Amino acid sequence: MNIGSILKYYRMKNNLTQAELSEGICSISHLSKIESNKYVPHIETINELFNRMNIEWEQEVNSYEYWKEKLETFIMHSVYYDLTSMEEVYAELSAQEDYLQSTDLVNRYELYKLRYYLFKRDIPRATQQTAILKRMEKSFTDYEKGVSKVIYLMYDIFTQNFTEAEGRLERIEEFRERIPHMFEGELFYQRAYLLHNRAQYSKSTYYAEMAVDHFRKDSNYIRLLHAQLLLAINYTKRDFTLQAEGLFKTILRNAKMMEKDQLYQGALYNYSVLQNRRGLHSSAYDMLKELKALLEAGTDYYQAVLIHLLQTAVEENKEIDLLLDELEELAGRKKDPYLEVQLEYFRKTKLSQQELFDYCEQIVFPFLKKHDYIGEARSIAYRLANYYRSTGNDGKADMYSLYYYDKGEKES
Amino acid sequence: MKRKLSIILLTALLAAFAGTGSALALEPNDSVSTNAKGDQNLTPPSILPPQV
Repeated sequence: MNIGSILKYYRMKNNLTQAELSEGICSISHLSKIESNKYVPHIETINELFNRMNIEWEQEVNSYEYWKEKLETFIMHSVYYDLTSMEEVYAELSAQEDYLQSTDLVNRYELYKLRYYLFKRDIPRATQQTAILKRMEKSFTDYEKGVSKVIYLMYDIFTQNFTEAEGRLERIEEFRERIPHMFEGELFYQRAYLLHNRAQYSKSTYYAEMAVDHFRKDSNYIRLLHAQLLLAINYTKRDFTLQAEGLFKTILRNAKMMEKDQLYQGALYNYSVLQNRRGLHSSAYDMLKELKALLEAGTDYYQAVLIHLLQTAVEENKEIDLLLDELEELAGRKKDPYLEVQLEYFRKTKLSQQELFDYCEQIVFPFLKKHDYIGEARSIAYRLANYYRSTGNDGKADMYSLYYYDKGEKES
Repeated sequence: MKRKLSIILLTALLAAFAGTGSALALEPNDSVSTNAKGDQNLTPPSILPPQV
């Protein structure tokens, strides 16, 4: 606890000069050294200085300890994903911002604010906060350095700065022992997330399993569900069917019990992806219909379900006109080129194979590739490769195969 | 700017296909992959758990 900083905070709050506060107690230069935390005064001096401002020193110590604990409660809520409690405590902390910024609690306060802004998906504030924290880094304790590494990593991934995130992970690996235990699970989870975004599914599986293990041991039930879902999606990508299905059933059951609707919907969606991969299109179709009924039209989630439902309906040779109408209406409203590409693709599934694949080659594949829809671009490339192989155009077939394998997981 | 160009390009190409589409509209669909399994299947949009 830096007594000097707190003393200065109250002196400024009471509009006193150093001369006015120190008179009859100590010299001005002595007070100055105390305030800059270069000198720890005797308890009698502290009492006299604080008494002059009508502050009981013991009460001040209690107040400091109270806010220190409040800060720790705040970060605990964020680690255990208790968003409601986190909001409440954040409101209390921000009301005391001036006080906190005058104490040695300022580092943690500003660091945890970055975590908060990420929760709120407030990129401008989060970016501003990283700039503030950069200026404070020299005064970070080892604990604060460790925490900052994890939160900065979360920021890099959230802002899709994947190259920066990968660099940061390499540096974290070098100093592994300095990540506080409470944040280890989060580190595994973020790593798994980054690798998944890079389509490196087996490596992502490894870290997702470690995250699951950590969160389970820590009884961090909500983050456990998140990690399990990421793991199940990785299992799906790798066709580990039994493992994926078992996990999806667990997640659906627990998400329903805990009334985590979005997680339930996410699990149902990804379970339908698994069913499609197994060729169980009818089961996937039923799941997607159930999911579509639960969602509000026009949301990004709804859009993904609509597109996936169209894909499934095509596989099942079901009538797609009503769904196409919906997609057309959505594409018209949102004016999103991605939706227009998807719409035209599904329209062309009703025409000839050549028309469809021409469209895939000329429009769909370049679009998906350009806008980093890696997974979707790969599957189009795979189909184009097969198509050109069947027509004897080996040059094009090789080109699309190369893209497919190059962008996929590099097996070690 | 890029987004605008993409939309203009798409519109132009879609218009180019519009004429040919109607001429072939009556042809039945030739074996567009049905019952495609695994990685051969179209990849749907990705929905992941919350990252932050």
